[in-house]
Amino acid sequence: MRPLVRLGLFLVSTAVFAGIFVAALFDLHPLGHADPLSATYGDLVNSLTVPERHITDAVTAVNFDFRGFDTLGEEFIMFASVLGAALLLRKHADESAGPPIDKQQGRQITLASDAVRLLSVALVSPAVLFGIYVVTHGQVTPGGGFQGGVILASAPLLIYVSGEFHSLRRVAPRWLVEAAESIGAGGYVVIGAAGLLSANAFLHNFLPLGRPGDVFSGGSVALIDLTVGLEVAGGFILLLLVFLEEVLVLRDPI
Amino acid sequence: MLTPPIPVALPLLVAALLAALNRLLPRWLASTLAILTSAAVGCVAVSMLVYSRLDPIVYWFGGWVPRRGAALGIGFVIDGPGAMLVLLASILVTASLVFSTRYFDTVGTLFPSLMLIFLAAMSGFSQTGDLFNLFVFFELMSAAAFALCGYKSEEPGPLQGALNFAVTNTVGAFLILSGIGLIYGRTGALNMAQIGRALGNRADALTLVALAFIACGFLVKAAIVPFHFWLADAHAVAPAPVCVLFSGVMVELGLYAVTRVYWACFSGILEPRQGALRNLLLVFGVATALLGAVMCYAQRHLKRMLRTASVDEMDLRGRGRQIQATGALFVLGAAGLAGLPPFATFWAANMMDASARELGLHWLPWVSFAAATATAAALLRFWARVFLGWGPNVEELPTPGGHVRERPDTSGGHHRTPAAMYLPAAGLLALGLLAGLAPRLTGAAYAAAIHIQDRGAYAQRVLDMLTPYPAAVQDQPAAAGDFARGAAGLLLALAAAWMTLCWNAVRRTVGRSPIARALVGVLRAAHSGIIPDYVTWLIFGVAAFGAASLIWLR
Amino acid sequence: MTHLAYCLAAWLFAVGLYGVVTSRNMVHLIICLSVVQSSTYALLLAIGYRAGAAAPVFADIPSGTPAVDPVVQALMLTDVVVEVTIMALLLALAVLAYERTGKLDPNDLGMIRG
Repeated sequence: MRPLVRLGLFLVSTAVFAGIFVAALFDLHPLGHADPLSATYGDLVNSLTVPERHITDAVTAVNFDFRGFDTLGEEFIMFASVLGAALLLRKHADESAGPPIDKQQGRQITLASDAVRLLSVALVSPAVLFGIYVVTHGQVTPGGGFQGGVILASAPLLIYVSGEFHSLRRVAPRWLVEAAESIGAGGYVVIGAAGLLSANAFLHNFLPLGRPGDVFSGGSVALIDLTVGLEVAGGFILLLLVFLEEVLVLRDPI
Repeated sequence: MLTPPIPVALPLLVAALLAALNRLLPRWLASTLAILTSAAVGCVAVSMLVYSRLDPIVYWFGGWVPRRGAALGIGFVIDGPGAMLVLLASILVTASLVFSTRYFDTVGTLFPSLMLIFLAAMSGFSQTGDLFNLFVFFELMSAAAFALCGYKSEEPGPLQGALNFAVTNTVGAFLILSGIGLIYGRTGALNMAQIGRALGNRADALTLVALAFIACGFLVKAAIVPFHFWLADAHAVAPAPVCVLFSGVMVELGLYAVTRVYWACFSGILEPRQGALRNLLLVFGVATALLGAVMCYAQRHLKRMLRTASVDEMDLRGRGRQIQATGALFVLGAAGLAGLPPFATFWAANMMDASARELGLHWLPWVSFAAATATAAALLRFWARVFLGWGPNVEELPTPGGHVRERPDTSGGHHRTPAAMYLPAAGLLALGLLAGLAPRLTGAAYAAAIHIQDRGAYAQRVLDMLTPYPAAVQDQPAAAGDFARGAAGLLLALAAAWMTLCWNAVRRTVGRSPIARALVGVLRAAHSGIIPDYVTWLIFGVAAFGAASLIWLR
Repeated sequence: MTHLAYCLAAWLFAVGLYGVVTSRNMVHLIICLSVVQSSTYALLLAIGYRAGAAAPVFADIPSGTPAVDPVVQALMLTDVVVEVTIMALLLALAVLAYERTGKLDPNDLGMIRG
């Protein structure tokens, strides 16, 4: 299609599309004022999460308990995408790895400044600590495996910023990261199967519920948080590794 | 009840295991594990098919049984069609895993791992009774499929095909999610049975637009015109074992989702306007059938035309004589596509035609007949050229396929087709034949169709745990005319293939006629392989569907 | 005026698509796709909003206090994770396509014409 024709067709179509979308949006309830007579799914969850699940963060209750099966799928979407990126960026037989771009001859090496190095090294341990805190407190306050996992994954990124690629590879070797990601993903299924065997329903809670507001509350949700944290942290570090390897390790053009 | 989660959980667990042992597991062991897993899912699907024959299986994850008609968790609702699709997916995944043991040179455990995730996604997608869960499995299917599509990442073609596929399907996913958001805003529910109840009988802009968004999103996956552009590109570049899954089951799942969501959620609001909706969907369906047939017939790139080996028709001319067995399989497959008895496709075509006649659409059977014949003719033409060596070496008609230089997927010579490659193909054809010969097949299919359409019974079964499902239905007899049509289709297809290849006058007239050239030119320009074009067509389709439903269905 | 906030979703969807269609760079196109995605965030969160209600965290407020809808927030969280990783996959494809062809303009990338 010629660009101008395409733009014309697009603008007309999108005007119609936006028109029907807005027409539909105006049929929704007024913002912030849902019909008080019909309790939604969310209202039910809000009323059940503390009395029945001992989970004080309702969003975590939805994610890992009421709709835990969705989250299993979600976790594997991440797993499949990371595997897919690793598969696509794999080294082919006709490519050969050379030294990283910053070690090539005739290239000026720019080291990170002392301020950057100091700051990022200083931030590594707080990042790890904060990540672990967020992962383990998902059932109490906002947070959980996904958020905490991303924070944990920022620690190796800080190492990369402070030093260079090689120290990152030393701290987080590829095999370790791959194993962590797979164990995290598989662990979720194992927890689900444990529920199946103990209570006859996949992903059914099989641990004591604890006291609402405690770190050890919510039963198997706490365990799921740990596996998801492991999977997310592993997945993001693996993504970082494969992208950096693709860009930084020189290959002969085909 | 232990079985319902297995078709999802087992492949996911094994996929994680294979990925964890990426460096340690030898390749044959990884393949074997994957094949066994997939076969096990098939066995579970058969057991569910038998078990759900009279009463669908309803399974609540986490033990969250509905309270006072409100679902709290995610439920699987497994009935005949759902279990059948799981079975189909597992059969095809098993076949392509067997096929791929000889197909690729270097496979770590990543390929079987992604295939198993793909299988789990398709299983969950066919079994779930929850609208958002359907979206999650849609996305899981996509994530695995994007990566598998770009598998041969050393070449630019697969990358471009995968990009086209991924961008259009991601826009489709956002449409579905917007539709789900609108529906949740109205009903406060995500369970399909509950949504169907809550929507009641009132059709307004919100419900119609939500239906349009959700339907168009799934129609992107189903590759219905004008959302179909990605499929041809993805087929042309994806490895053959993956193509089998794309058109063998993933595309059908898109249609299944539209059917399921419509009958469970929206059939109430559109009850008085069912005829108008049918006409709207018919426009899209007939356009797809006709365009598909024309494209297929004007196509030279075989895999884009369908699937099988990665070859360009012209390059292989006459070379195929050494692999006669493969040729025979190919012809059988073409016969199946033409709807010849006793293939199961024959019965499917019969049932569609019968219902079209019941609705007074007497022209529809002829359209589907023409489309099936043209497709079979294109395949037979390929067979005649490659395996018999018919026809000249040059092509008169510029094809809407263009040329991609593809490296062969397998290494080594093509003198003999390895057993691991033709056995799965033969097995699949045999299954197609057996399914056609199975007793009470059409009766079961009719019963399934009636079950799917009964919104009230579905909701009672899922939410109130009552079992008001109706009894089984009698078989649909095939008339002599139907057999005659099947045979005539194959003959016509053969004749058309022969004419285009060997009858020079016809070849020249068709090849040089301005109409044919113009038509192919237009099609070629439309199938440009450029993402912005595809997205423009996509949004055009959504706008057309949405505006039409607001005007005619209200 | 009570519905105007919802219209943000329609605007983001349309403007993101405009970016996808007019983009001259694959990476830019993928970022525009995430603008389309943010439309779904806006829609979901607006639907779950309740005037005057608290956040659905009952750690320091008693259970039973009116709170906004947690389900849409959970759906949004799912959506975020899903799309972040799909974007990573798309970017990997774009990086590779650039390495193989030296091109990033989606209009030049149509090498499998057909």
